[in-house]
Amino acid sequence: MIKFVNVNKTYPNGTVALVDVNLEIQEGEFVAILGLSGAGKSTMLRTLNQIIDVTSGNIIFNNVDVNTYEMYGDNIEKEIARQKELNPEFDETKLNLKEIDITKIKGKKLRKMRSNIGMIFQNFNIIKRMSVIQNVLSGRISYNPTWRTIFGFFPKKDKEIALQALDRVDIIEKTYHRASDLSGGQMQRVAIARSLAQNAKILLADEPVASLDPITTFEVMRFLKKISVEDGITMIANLHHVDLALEYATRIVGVKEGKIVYDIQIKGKNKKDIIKDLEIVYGRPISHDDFVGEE
Amino acid sequence: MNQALLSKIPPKPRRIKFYSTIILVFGIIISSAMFSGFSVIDIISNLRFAFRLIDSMFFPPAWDYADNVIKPLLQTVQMAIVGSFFGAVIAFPVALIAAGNFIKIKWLNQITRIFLNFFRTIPALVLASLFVSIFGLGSFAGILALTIFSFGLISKMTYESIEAIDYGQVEAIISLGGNRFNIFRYAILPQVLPQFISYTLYAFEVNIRAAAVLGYVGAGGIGQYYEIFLSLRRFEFVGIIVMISFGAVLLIDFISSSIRRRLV
Ligand SMILES: Nc1ncnc2c1ncn2[C@@H]1O[C@H](COP(=O)(O)OP(=O)(O)OP(=O)(O)O)[C@@H](O)[C@H]1O
Ligand SMILES: [Mg+2]
Repeated sequence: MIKFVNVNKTYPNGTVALVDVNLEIQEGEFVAILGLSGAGKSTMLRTLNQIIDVTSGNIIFNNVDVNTYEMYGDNIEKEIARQKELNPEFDETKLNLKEIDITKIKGKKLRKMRSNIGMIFQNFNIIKRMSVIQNVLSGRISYNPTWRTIFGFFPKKDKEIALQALDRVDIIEKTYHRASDLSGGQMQRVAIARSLAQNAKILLADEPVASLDPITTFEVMRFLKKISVEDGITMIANLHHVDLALEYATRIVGVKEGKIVYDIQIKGKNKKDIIKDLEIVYGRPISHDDFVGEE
Repeated sequence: MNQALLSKIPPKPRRIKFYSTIILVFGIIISSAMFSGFSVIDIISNLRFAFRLIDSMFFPPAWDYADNVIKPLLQTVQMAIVGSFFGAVIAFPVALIAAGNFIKIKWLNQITRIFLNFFRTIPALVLASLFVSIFGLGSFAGILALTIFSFGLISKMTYESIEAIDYGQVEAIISLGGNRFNIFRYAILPQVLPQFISYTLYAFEVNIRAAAVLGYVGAGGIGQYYEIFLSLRRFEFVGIIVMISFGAVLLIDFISSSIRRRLV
Protein backbone atom coordinates (compact mmCIF):
# COMPACT_ATOMS: atom_id res chain seq x y z
CA MET A 1 0.00 0.00 0.00
CA ILE A 2 1.18 3.48 -0.88
CA LYS A 3 -0.13 6.51 0.96
CA PHE A 4 0.27 10.16 0.07
CA VAL A 5 -0.45 12.24 3.17
CA ASN A 6 -0.93 15.98 2.69
CA VAL A 7 1.79 16.14 0.06
CA ASN A 8 2.71 19.60 -1.22
CA LYS A 9 5.33 20.48 -3.76
CA THR A 10 6.47 23.96 -4.67
CA TYR A 11 9.45 24.17 -7.00
CA PRO A 12 12.34 26.47 -6.07
CA ASN A 13 11.16 28.97 -8.71
CA GLY A 14 7.83 29.27 -6.92
CA THR A 15 5.71 27.06 -9.21
CA VAL A 16 3.14 25.23 -7.13
CA ALA A 17 2.91 21.69 -8.54
CA LEU A 18 1.12 19.67 -5.84
CA VAL A 19 -1.44 20.92 -3.32
CA ASP A 20 -2.49 18.78 -0.35
CA VAL A 21 -2.42 15.49 -2.17
CA ASN A 22 -3.98 12.63 -0.23
CA LEU A 23 -4.18 9.31 -1.99
CA GLU A 24 -4.07 5.64 -1.04
CA ILE A 25 -3.14 3.00 -3.60
CA GLN A 26 -3.49 -0.73 -2.90
CA GLU A 27 -1.15 -3.38 -4.15
CA GLY A 28 -1.86 -4.61 -7.67
CA GLU A 29 -3.94 -1.62 -8.68
CA PHE A 30 -3.42 -0.14 -12.13
CA VAL A 31 -3.91 3.57 -11.59
CA ALA A 32 -4.13 5.90 -14.56
CA ILE A 33 -3.39 9.51 -13.71
CA LEU A 34 -5.11 11.91 -16.07
CA GLY A 35 -4.89 15.67 -16.29
CA LEU A 36 -3.96 18.57 -18.50
CA SER A 37 -0.38 19.36 -19.34
CA GLY A 38 1.21 21.02 -16.31
CA ALA A 39 -1.36 19.63 -13.89
CA GLY A 40 1.35 17.97 -11.78
CA LYS A 41 1.18 14.34 -12.94
CA SER A 42 4.93 13.89 -13.48
CA THR A 43 5.70 15.67 -10.23
CA MET A 44 3.41 13.27 -8.40
CA LEU A 45 5.14 10.20 -9.85
CA ARG A 46 8.60 11.56 -9.24
CA THR A 47 7.98 12.32 -5.59
CA LEU A 48 7.08 8.64 -5.13
CA ASN A 49 10.68 7.54 -5.72
CA GLN A 50 12.08 10.86 -4.50
CA ILE A 51 13.68 11.91 -7.77
CA ILE A 52 11.87 15.05 -6.69
CA ASP A 53 11.60 15.82 -2.98
CA VAL A 54 8.39 17.10 -1.44
CA THR A 55 7.97 20.50 0.21
CA SER A 56 5.79 19.02 2.94
CA GLY A 57 3.80 15.89 3.68
CA ASN A 58 4.57 12.17 3.80
CA ILE A 59 4.68 9.30 1.34
CA ILE A 60 4.31 6.05 3.16
CA PHE A 61 4.89 2.45 2.10
CA ASN A 62 3.69 -0.35 4.36
CA ASN A 63 5.47 -3.59 5.28
CA VAL A 64 9.02 -2.65 4.41
CA ASP A 65 11.70 -4.87 5.95
CA VAL A 66 13.91 -2.39 7.78
CA ASN A 67 16.94 -4.70 7.54
CA THR A 68 17.01 -4.79 3.75
CA TYR A 69 14.49 -2.11 2.76
CA GLU A 70 12.80 -4.74 0.64
CA MET A 71 9.07 -4.05 0.22
CA TYR A 72 6.68 -6.83 1.21
CA GLY A 73 3.51 -4.83 0.62
CA ASP A 74 0.00 -6.09 1.23
CA ASN A 75 0.65 -9.63 0.09
CA ILE A 76 3.46 -10.65 2.44
CA GLU A 77 3.20 -14.39 1.80
CA LYS A 78 3.64 -13.97 -1.92
CA GLU A 79 6.73 -11.80 -1.55
CA ILE A 80 8.27 -14.20 0.97
CA ALA A 81 7.81 -17.00 -1.52
CA ARG A 82 9.51 -14.92 -4.21
CA GLN A 83 12.43 -14.10 -1.91
CA LYS A 84 12.83 -17.81 -1.09
CA GLU A 85 12.96 -18.59 -4.74
CA LEU A 86 15.72 -16.02 -5.27
CA ASN A 87 17.66 -17.06 -2.21
CA PRO A 88 17.24 -20.56 -0.68
CA GLU A 89 18.80 -19.39 2.60
CA PHE A 90 16.19 -16.69 3.06
CA ASP A 91 15.08 -16.54 6.70
CA GLU A 92 11.64 -15.05 7.18
CA THR A 93 11.91 -14.96 10.98
CA LYS A 94 14.46 -12.15 10.61
CA LEU A 95 11.95 -9.93 8.84
CA ASN A 96 11.16 -6.69 10.59
CA LEU A 97 8.30 -5.13 8.66
CA LYS A 98 7.51 -1.47 9.29
CA GLU A 99 5.89 1.49 7.62
CA ILE A 100 8.49 3.65 5.88
CA ASP A 101 8.10 7.29 4.92
CA ILE A 102 10.29 7.64 1.84
CA THR A 103 10.47 11.43 2.23
CA LYS A 104 12.33 10.94 5.51
CA ILE A 105 15.13 8.61 4.44
CA LYS A 106 18.43 9.28 2.69
CA GLY A 107 21.53 7.67 1.24
CA LYS A 108 21.74 3.92 1.08
CA LYS A 109 18.31 3.36 2.62
CA LEU A 110 16.70 5.60 0.03
CA ARG A 111 18.53 3.81 -2.79
CA LYS A 112 17.37 0.46 -1.42
CA MET A 113 13.79 1.76 -1.29
CA ARG A 114 14.05 2.98 -4.87
CA SER A 115 15.12 -0.42 -6.07
CA ASN A 116 11.58 -1.60 -5.22
CA ILE A 117 10.09 1.02 -7.51
CA GLY A 118 10.58 0.76 -11.27
CA MET A 119 10.22 3.67 -13.61
CA ILE A 120 9.23 3.83 -17.28
CA PHE A 121 9.80 7.04 -19.20
CA GLN A 122 8.29 8.62 -22.29
CA ASN A 123 11.67 8.55 -24.06
CA PHE A 124 12.63 5.15 -22.63
CA ASN A 125 15.93 6.27 -21.06
CA ILE A 126 17.69 3.05 -21.81
CA ILE A 127 21.42 3.18 -22.40
CA LYS A 128 21.66 3.42 -26.15
CA ARG A 129 25.34 2.56 -26.47
CA MET A 130 24.98 -0.69 -24.52
CA SER A 131 23.51 -3.99 -25.55
CA VAL A 132 19.96 -5.01 -24.67
CA ILE A 133 21.15 -7.57 -22.11
CA GLN A 134 23.46 -5.05 -20.44
CA ASN A 135 20.52 -2.69 -20.16
CA VAL A 136 18.37 -5.28 -18.47
CA LEU A 137 21.25 -6.33 -16.20
CA SER A 138 21.52 -2.71 -15.07
CA GLY A 139 18.21 -3.44 -13.31
CA ARG A 140 20.29 -5.58 -10.95
CA ILE A 141 22.75 -2.89 -9.88
CA SER A 142 21.25 -2.34 -6.45
CA TYR A 143 21.51 -6.06 -5.66
CA ASN A 144 25.25 -6.24 -6.37
CA PRO A 145 28.39 -4.72 -4.87
CA THR A 146 29.49 -1.59 -6.71
CA TRP A 147 32.72 -3.12 -8.06
CA ARG A 148 30.76 -5.83 -9.84
CA THR A 149 28.43 -3.32 -11.46
CA ILE A 150 31.40 -1.15 -12.53
CA PHE A 151 33.04 -4.05 -14.36
CA GLY A 152 29.71 -5.42 -15.50
CA PHE A 153 30.44 -8.82 -13.88
CA PHE A 154 26.94 -9.84 -12.96
CA PRO A 155 26.40 -13.26 -11.36
CA LYS A 156 24.97 -16.06 -13.44
CA LYS A 157 21.73 -15.88 -11.49
CA ASP A 158 21.27 -12.25 -12.55
CA LYS A 159 21.83 -13.13 -16.19
CA GLU A 160 19.11 -15.73 -15.89
CA ILE A 161 16.79 -13.16 -14.35
CA ALA A 162 17.58 -10.72 -17.17
CA LEU A 163 16.98 -13.30 -19.91
CA GLN A 164 13.69 -14.35 -18.35
CA ALA A 165 12.63 -10.71 -18.21
CA LEU A 166 13.47 -10.27 -21.90
CA ASP A 167 11.51 -13.38 -22.71
CA ARG A 168 8.46 -12.08 -20.89
CA VAL A 169 8.33 -8.99 -23.07
CA ASP A 170 8.94 -11.09 -26.20
CA ILE A 171 12.21 -9.53 -27.17
CA ILE A 172 14.72 -12.21 -26.23
CA GLU A 173 15.87 -12.48 -29.85
CA LYS A 174 17.35 -8.98 -29.53
CA THR A 175 19.43 -9.92 -26.47
CA TYR A 176 22.80 -9.03 -27.97
CA HIS A 177 21.69 -6.14 -30.16
CA ARG A 178 22.84 -2.64 -29.44
CA ALA A 179 19.96 -0.81 -27.77
CA SER A 180 20.19 2.11 -30.19
CA ASP A 181 19.28 -0.22 -33.06
CA LEU A 182 15.82 -0.98 -31.66
CA SER A 183 12.51 0.64 -32.56
CA GLY A 184 10.70 2.80 -30.01
CA GLY A 185 8.31 0.05 -28.98
CA GLN A 186 11.19 -2.40 -28.58
CA MET A 187 13.14 0.11 -26.49
CA GLN A 188 10.16 0.52 -24.19
CA ARG A 189 9.92 -3.26 -23.84
CA VAL A 190 13.60 -3.35 -22.86
CA ALA A 191 12.81 -0.71 -20.25
CA ILE A 192 9.96 -2.87 -18.94
CA ALA A 193 12.30 -5.88 -18.83
CA ARG A 194 14.78 -3.77 -16.85
CA SER A 195 12.06 -3.02 -14.27
CA LEU A 196 11.19 -6.72 -14.11
CA ALA A 197 14.85 -7.58 -13.52
CA GLN A 198 14.87 -4.93 -10.82
CA ASN A 199 12.11 -6.95 -9.08
CA ALA A 200 9.98 -3.81 -8.95
CA LYS A 201 6.86 -4.11 -6.82
CA ILE A 202 5.63 -0.75 -8.01
CA LEU A 203 6.02 0.59 -11.53
CA LEU A 204 5.78 4.29 -12.26
CA ALA A 205 5.13 4.99 -15.93
CA ASP A 206 5.39 8.62 -17.03
CA GLU A 207 3.57 8.77 -20.36
CA PRO A 208 4.96 5.39 -21.38
CA VAL A 209 3.41 5.46 -24.85
CA ALA A 210 3.49 9.15 -25.72
CA SER A 211 6.28 8.73 -28.28
CA LEU A 212 4.88 5.59 -29.88
CA ASP A 213 2.57 5.04 -32.83
CA PRO A 214 -0.94 3.66 -32.14
CA ILE A 215 -0.15 0.01 -32.86
CA THR A 216 2.96 -0.03 -30.68
CA THR A 217 1.05 1.91 -28.05
CA PHE A 218 -1.41 -0.93 -27.56
CA GLU A 219 1.38 -3.47 -27.59
CA VAL A 220 3.30 -1.71 -24.80
CA MET A 221 0.10 -1.10 -22.79
CA ARG A 222 -0.71 -4.83 -23.05
CA PHE A 223 2.72 -5.73 -21.63
CA LEU A 224 2.25 -3.28 -18.75
CA LYS A 225 -1.16 -4.75 -18.04
CA LYS A 226 0.18 -8.28 -18.29
CA ILE A 227 2.95 -7.83 -15.72
CA SER A 228 0.59 -5.92 -13.47
CA VAL A 229 -1.90 -8.79 -13.48
CA GLU A 230 0.55 -11.72 -13.47
CA ASP A 231 3.01 -10.36 -10.88
CA GLY A 232 0.65 -8.18 -8.87
CA ILE A 233 2.85 -5.17 -9.64
CA THR A 234 1.20 -1.90 -8.69
CA MET A 235 1.10 0.27 -11.78
CA ILE A 236 0.83 4.04 -11.69
CA ALA A 237 0.78 5.53 -15.17
CA ASN A 238 0.40 9.09 -16.41
CA LEU A 239 -1.60 8.84 -19.58
CA HIS A 240 -2.74 11.36 -22.13
CA HIS A 241 -5.46 9.24 -23.66
CA VAL A 242 -8.75 8.55 -21.96
CA ASP A 243 -9.45 5.34 -23.88
CA LEU A 244 -6.14 3.81 -22.77
CA ALA A 245 -7.03 4.56 -19.16
CA LEU A 246 -10.48 3.03 -19.54
CA GLU A 247 -9.13 -0.03 -21.34
CA TYR A 248 -6.12 -0.93 -19.19
CA ALA A 249 -6.39 0.75 -15.80
CA THR A 250 -8.47 -0.36 -12.83
CA ARG A 251 -8.73 3.13 -11.42
CA ILE A 252 -8.58 6.68 -12.71
CA VAL A 253 -7.21 9.57 -10.70
CA GLY A 254 -7.74 13.04 -12.13
CA VAL A 255 -5.31 15.84 -11.32
CA LYS A 256 -5.99 19.50 -11.92
CA GLU A 257 -3.72 22.36 -10.89
CA GLY A 258 -1.88 20.12 -8.45
CA LYS A 259 -5.00 18.81 -6.73
CA ILE A 260 -6.72 15.48 -6.98
CA VAL A 261 -10.15 16.35 -8.32
CA TYR A 262 -11.39 12.94 -9.40
CA ASP A 263 -10.87 9.35 -8.26
CA ILE A 264 -12.85 6.35 -9.45
CA GLN A 265 -12.60 2.56 -9.61
CA ILE A 266 -13.47 1.64 -13.18
CA LYS A 267 -14.91 -1.83 -12.59
CA GLY A 268 -18.68 -1.95 -12.83
CA LYS A 269 -18.96 1.67 -13.90
CA ASN A 270 -20.41 2.90 -17.15
CA LYS A 271 -17.56 4.18 -19.32
CA LYS A 272 -19.76 6.89 -20.82
CA ASP A 273 -20.40 8.27 -17.33
CA ILE A 274 -16.71 8.31 -16.58
CA ILE A 275 -15.98 10.15 -19.83
CA LYS A 276 -18.62 12.68 -18.89
CA ASP A 277 -17.15 13.07 -15.37
CA LEU A 278 -13.69 13.69 -16.78
CA GLU A 279 -14.84 17.15 -17.84
CA ILE A 280 -14.05 18.13 -14.24
CA VAL A 281 -10.43 17.10 -14.80
CA TYR A 282 -9.92 18.67 -18.20
CA GLY A 283 -12.18 21.68 -17.75
CA ARG A 284 -13.73 20.92 -21.15
CA PRO A 285 -15.70 18.13 -22.79
CA ILE A 286 -13.71 15.03 -23.84
CA SER A 287 -13.06 15.09 -27.59
CA HIS A 288 -11.67 12.79 -30.26
CA ASP A 289 -8.15 14.04 -29.55
CA ASP A 290 -8.31 12.41 -26.14
CA PHE A 291 -8.51 8.97 -27.74
CA VAL A 292 -5.83 6.91 -29.45
CA GLY A 293 -8.56 5.23 -31.47
CA GLU A 294 -9.63 1.68 -32.21
CA GLU A 295 -7.10 -1.07 -31.78
CA MET B 1 2.39 39.86 -56.82
CA ASN B 2 -1.12 40.60 -55.64
CA GLN B 3 -1.97 43.20 -53.06
CA ALA B 4 -3.17 40.74 -50.41
CA LEU B 5 0.13 38.88 -50.43
CA LEU B 6 2.17 42.10 -50.40
CA SER B 7 0.40 43.29 -47.30
CA LYS B 8 1.35 40.07 -45.47
CA ILE B 9 5.09 40.32 -46.08
CA PRO B 10 6.87 41.64 -43.02
CA PRO B 11 9.11 44.68 -43.52
CA LYS B 12 12.56 43.77 -44.77
CA PRO B 13 15.01 43.72 -41.88
CA ARG B 14 17.59 46.50 -42.02
CA ARG B 15 21.16 45.40 -42.34
CA ILE B 16 22.75 48.17 -40.32
CA LYS B 17 23.84 45.71 -37.66
CA PHE B 18 25.51 43.48 -40.22
CA TYR B 19 27.46 46.30 -41.90
CA SER B 20 28.48 47.94 -38.65
CA THR B 21 29.82 44.59 -37.41
CA ILE B 22 31.94 44.22 -40.53
CA ILE B 23 33.32 47.75 -40.17
CA LEU B 24 34.07 47.14 -36.51
CA VAL B 25 35.92 43.87 -37.18
CA PHE B 26 38.08 45.45 -39.91
CA GLY B 27 38.72 48.44 -37.69
CA ILE B 28 40.03 46.17 -34.93
CA ILE B 29 42.27 44.20 -37.31
CA ILE B 30 43.79 47.31 -38.93
CA SER B 31 44.38 49.16 -35.68
CA SER B 32 45.94 46.04 -34.10
CA ALA B 33 48.29 45.73 -37.07
CA MET B 34 49.30 49.36 -36.72
CA PHE B 35 49.90 49.15 -33.00
CA SER B 36 51.92 45.97 -33.25
CA GLY B 37 54.18 47.45 -35.92
CA PHE B 38 53.03 45.26 -38.76
CA SER B 39 54.15 46.72 -42.03
CA VAL B 40 53.64 45.48 -45.58
CA ILE B 41 56.62 47.54 -46.76
CA ASP B 42 58.92 45.73 -44.35
CA ILE B 43 57.72 42.42 -45.68
CA ILE B 44 58.29 43.34 -49.30
CA SER B 45 61.72 44.89 -48.72
CA ASN B 46 62.92 41.82 -46.82
CA LEU B 47 61.42 39.31 -49.21
CA ARG B 48 64.74 38.49 -50.86
CA PHE B 49 66.22 37.44 -47.47
CA ALA B 50 63.31 35.12 -47.02
CA PHE B 51 63.91 33.57 -50.43
CA ARG B 52 67.57 33.12 -49.70
CA LEU B 53 66.74 31.39 -46.42
CA ILE B 54 64.22 29.08 -48.05
CA ASP B 55 66.78 28.28 -50.72
CA SER B 56 69.41 27.27 -48.19
CA MET B 57 66.88 25.27 -46.17
CA PHE B 58 65.32 23.16 -48.90
CA PHE B 59 67.42 23.33 -52.06
CA PRO B 60 68.70 20.74 -52.09
CA PRO B 61 67.24 18.93 -49.05
CA ALA B 62 69.91 17.51 -46.74
CA TRP B 63 68.68 13.96 -47.09
CA ASP B 64 71.89 12.53 -45.63
CA TYR B 65 70.93 14.02 -42.33
CA ALA B 66 67.40 12.54 -42.32
CA ASP B 67 68.49 9.45 -40.35
CA ASN B 68 69.48 11.60 -37.41
CA VAL B 69 66.07 13.27 -37.32
CA ILE B 70 64.11 10.08 -36.78
CA LYS B 71 65.20 9.42 -33.22
CA PRO B 72 64.39 12.86 -31.74
CA LEU B 73 61.19 12.89 -33.76
CA LEU B 74 60.13 9.57 -32.24
CA GLN B 75 61.00 10.94 -28.82
CA THR B 76 58.77 13.94 -29.52
CA VAL B 77 55.89 11.67 -30.53
CA GLN B 78 56.41 9.57 -27.41
CA MET B 79 56.36 12.68 -25.24
CA ALA B 80 53.10 13.73 -26.86
CA ILE B 81 51.58 10.27 -26.36
CA VAL B 82 52.56 10.00 -22.71
CA GLY B 83 51.56 13.62 -21.99
CA SER B 84 48.13 13.24 -23.63
CA PHE B 85 47.54 9.94 -21.87
CA PHE B 86 48.29 11.18 -18.37
CA GLY B 87 46.54 14.46 -19.07
CA ALA B 88 43.42 12.52 -20.07
CA VAL B 89 43.64 10.25 -17.02
CA ILE B 90 43.60 13.22 -14.66
CA ALA B 91 41.12 15.16 -16.78
CA PHE B 92 38.18 12.77 -16.51
CA PRO B 93 37.70 12.72 -12.73
CA VAL B 94 38.27 16.46 -12.52
CA ALA B 95 35.74 17.03 -15.34
CA LEU B 96 33.22 15.02 -13.29
CA ILE B 97 33.74 17.34 -10.33
CA ALA B 98 33.39 20.41 -12.56
CA ALA B 99 30.14 19.14 -14.10
CA GLY B 100 27.16 20.68 -12.31
CA ASN B 101 24.82 17.79 -13.18
CA PHE B 102 27.00 15.11 -11.54
CA ILE B 103 28.30 16.82 -8.40
CA LYS B 104 25.55 19.20 -7.37
CA ILE B 105 27.71 21.43 -5.18
CA LYS B 106 27.87 24.79 -6.94
CA TRP B 107 30.94 26.22 -5.21
CA LEU B 108 32.91 23.02 -5.83
CA ASN B 109 32.01 23.11 -9.54
CA GLN B 110 33.04 26.74 -9.76
CA ILE B 111 36.35 26.33 -7.96
CA THR B 112 37.24 23.36 -10.13
CA ARG B 113 36.46 25.33 -13.27
CA ILE B 114 38.61 28.27 -12.16
CA PHE B 115 41.42 25.80 -11.49
CA LEU B 116 41.00 24.28 -14.98
CA ASN B 117 40.96 27.64 -16.70
CA PHE B 118 44.06 28.66 -14.80
CA PHE B 119 46.01 25.74 -16.26
CA ARG B 120 44.55 26.31 -19.68
CA THR B 121 45.86 29.86 -19.88
CA ILE B 122 49.52 28.91 -19.28
CA PRO B 123 51.23 28.12 -22.61
CA ALA B 124 52.92 24.72 -22.79
CA LEU B 125 56.26 26.40 -23.48
CA VAL B 126 56.06 28.38 -20.24
CA LEU B 127 55.07 25.26 -18.30
CA ALA B 128 58.04 23.45 -19.85
CA SER B 129 60.55 26.13 -18.80
CA LEU B 130 59.12 26.07 -15.28
CA PHE B 131 59.48 22.29 -15.09
CA VAL B 132 62.98 22.43 -16.55
CA SER B 133 63.97 24.73 -13.74
CA ILE B 134 62.46 22.33 -11.21
CA PHE B 135 63.40 18.92 -12.64
CA GLY B 136 66.33 19.81 -14.85
CA LEU B 137 66.84 19.42 -18.57
CA GLY B 138 65.27 16.50 -20.43
CA SER B 139 62.07 15.05 -21.71
CA PHE B 140 60.56 14.51 -18.24
CA ALA B 141 59.95 18.24 -17.89
CA GLY B 142 58.44 18.25 -21.38
CA ILE B 143 56.13 15.36 -20.60
CA LEU B 144 54.94 17.07 -17.43
CA ALA B 145 54.26 20.25 -19.36
CA LEU B 146 52.27 18.37 -21.99
CA THR B 147 50.38 16.48 -19.29
CA ILE B 148 49.23 19.68 -17.62
CA PHE B 149 48.48 21.30 -20.94
CA SER B 150 46.37 18.37 -22.21
CA PHE B 151 44.69 18.08 -18.83
CA GLY B 152 43.44 21.66 -19.12
CA LEU B 153 42.26 21.16 -22.67
CA ILE B 154 40.56 17.77 -22.23
CA SER B 155 38.93 18.45 -18.88
CA LYS B 156 37.25 21.65 -20.08
CA MET B 157 35.75 20.02 -23.15
CA THR B 158 34.81 16.88 -21.22
CA TYR B 159 32.96 18.66 -18.44
CA GLU B 160 30.99 20.59 -21.04
CA SER B 161 30.03 17.29 -22.70
CA ILE B 162 29.04 15.82 -19.35
CA GLU B 163 26.77 18.79 -18.72
CA ALA B 164 25.16 18.29 -22.12
CA ILE B 165 24.23 14.61 -21.66
CA ASP B 166 20.68 13.32 -21.77
CA TYR B 167 19.80 13.54 -18.06
CA GLY B 168 16.93 11.10 -18.46
CA GLN B 169 19.40 8.22 -18.44
CA VAL B 170 20.77 9.49 -15.14
CA GLU B 171 17.23 9.54 -13.73
CA ALA B 172 16.72 5.99 -14.94
CA ILE B 173 19.77 4.78 -13.02
CA ILE B 174 18.70 6.74 -9.93
CA SER B 175 15.30 5.10 -10.12
CA LEU B 176 17.00 1.67 -10.21
CA GLY B 177 18.52 2.47 -6.82
CA GLY B 178 21.92 3.25 -8.32
CA ASN B 179 24.62 5.11 -6.43
CA ARG B 180 27.00 7.74 -7.81
CA PHE B 181 29.37 5.14 -9.23
CA ASN B 182 26.51 3.39 -10.99
CA ILE B 183 25.33 6.68 -12.44
CA PHE B 184 28.82 7.37 -13.68
CA ARG B 185 29.26 3.92 -15.18
CA TYR B 186 25.82 3.43 -16.73
CA ALA B 187 24.50 6.89 -17.54
CA ILE B 188 27.47 9.20 -18.02
CA LEU B 189 30.35 7.10 -19.32
CA PRO B 190 28.48 5.53 -22.27
CA GLN B 191 27.32 8.97 -23.34
CA VAL B 192 30.60 10.86 -23.09
CA LEU B 193 33.26 8.20 -23.72
CA PRO B 194 33.39 8.67 -27.52
CA GLN B 195 33.69 12.43 -27.09
CA PHE B 196 36.29 12.04 -24.38
CA ILE B 197 38.45 9.82 -26.60
CA SER B 198 38.00 12.27 -29.42
CA TYR B 199 39.17 15.17 -27.22
CA THR B 200 42.16 13.12 -26.10
CA LEU B 201 43.15 12.49 -29.71
CA TYR B 202 42.70 16.16 -30.47
CA ALA B 203 44.95 17.04 -27.51
CA PHE B 204 47.46 14.56 -28.90
CA GLU B 205 47.44 16.36 -32.27
CA VAL B 206 48.00 19.69 -30.56
CA ASN B 207 50.67 18.15 -28.35
CA ILE B 208 52.71 16.90 -31.31
CA ARG B 209 53.08 20.49 -32.47
CA ALA B 210 53.69 21.81 -28.98
CA ALA B 211 56.23 19.05 -28.26
CA ALA B 212 58.22 20.04 -31.32
CA VAL B 213 59.16 23.38 -29.80
CA LEU B 214 59.55 22.30 -26.15
CA GLY B 215 63.18 21.34 -26.84
CA TYR B 216 63.84 25.00 -27.26
CA VAL B 217 63.72 25.42 -23.50
CA GLY B 218 65.54 22.14 -22.94
CA ALA B 219 62.49 19.97 -22.34
CA GLY B 220 63.46 17.20 -24.76
CA GLY B 221 62.32 16.21 -28.22
CA ILE B 222 63.16 17.55 -31.62
CA GLY B 223 63.04 21.20 -30.58
CA GLN B 224 66.55 21.18 -29.14
CA TYR B 225 67.90 20.39 -32.63
CA TYR B 226 66.18 23.47 -34.00
CA GLU B 227 67.90 25.47 -31.34
CA ILE B 228 71.35 24.05 -32.08
CA PHE B 229 71.16 24.31 -35.86
CA LEU B 230 69.61 27.74 -35.91
CA SER B 231 72.36 29.09 -33.71
CA LEU B 232 74.95 27.35 -35.92
CA ARG B 233 73.13 28.80 -38.98
CA ARG B 234 72.97 25.29 -40.50
CA PHE B 235 69.72 26.05 -42.30
CA GLU B 236 69.87 22.93 -44.46
CA PHE B 237 69.56 20.82 -41.28
CA VAL B 238 66.71 22.99 -40.01
CA GLY B 239 65.04 22.48 -43.38
CA ILE B 240 65.19 18.71 -43.28
CA ILE B 241 63.84 18.65 -39.70
CA VAL B 242 60.96 20.88 -40.75
CA MET B 243 60.17 18.66 -43.74
CA ILE B 244 60.21 15.40 -41.83
CA SER B 245 58.25 16.85 -38.91
CA PHE B 246 55.72 18.24 -41.34
CA GLY B 247 55.28 14.80 -42.89
CA ALA B 248 54.91 13.20 -39.47
CA VAL B 249 52.39 15.78 -38.25
CA LEU B 250 50.36 15.40 -41.43
CA LEU B 251 50.29 11.63 -41.10
CA ILE B 252 49.38 11.70 -37.40
CA ASP B 253 46.68 14.32 -37.95
CA PHE B 254 45.22 12.26 -40.74
CA ILE B 255 45.10 9.05 -38.69
CA SER B 256 43.89 10.75 -35.53
CA SER B 257 41.19 12.81 -37.18
CA SER B 258 39.87 9.87 -39.17
CA ILE B 259 39.53 7.93 -35.91
CA ARG B 260 37.80 10.92 -34.35
CA ARG B 261 35.36 11.19 -37.19
CA ARG B 262 34.36 7.59 -36.69
CA LEU B 263 33.84 8.04 -32.94
CA VAL B 264 31.26 10.78 -32.80
N1 LIG C 1 11.97 21.35 -12.35
C1 LIG C 1 10.95 22.22 -12.33
N2 LIG C 1 11.16 23.48 -11.91
C2 LIG C 1 10.15 24.36 -11.86
N3 LIG C 1 8.87 24.09 -12.23
C3 LIG C 1 8.62 22.85 -12.68
C4 LIG C 1 9.64 21.85 -12.75
N4 LIG C 1 9.09 20.73 -13.23
C5 LIG C 1 7.79 21.00 -13.44
N5 LIG C 1 7.48 22.28 -13.11
C6 LIG C 1 6.16 22.93 -13.16
O1 LIG C 1 5.30 22.26 -12.28
C7 LIG C 1 4.00 22.12 -12.82
C8 LIG C 1 3.64 20.66 -12.90
O2 LIG C 1 4.51 20.03 -13.82
P1 LIG C 1 4.44 18.49 -14.18
O3 LIG C 1 5.61 18.20 -15.03
O4 LIG C 1 4.27 17.71 -12.96
O5 LIG C 1 3.10 18.44 -15.05
P2 LIG C 1 2.47 17.24 -15.89
O6 LIG C 1 1.09 17.07 -15.40
O7 LIG C 1 3.35 16.07 -15.84
O8 LIG C 1 2.44 17.86 -17.34
P3 LIG C 1 2.67 17.15 -18.76
O9 LIG C 1 1.41 16.47 -19.10
O10 LIG C 1 2.95 18.30 -19.67
O11 LIG C 1 3.84 16.24 -18.60
C9 LIG C 1 4.06 22.81 -14.18
O12 LIG C 1 3.58 24.11 -14.01
C10 LIG C 1 5.52 22.83 -14.52
O13 LIG C 1 5.83 23.93 -15.33
MG1 LIG D 1 4.61 15.13 -17.29
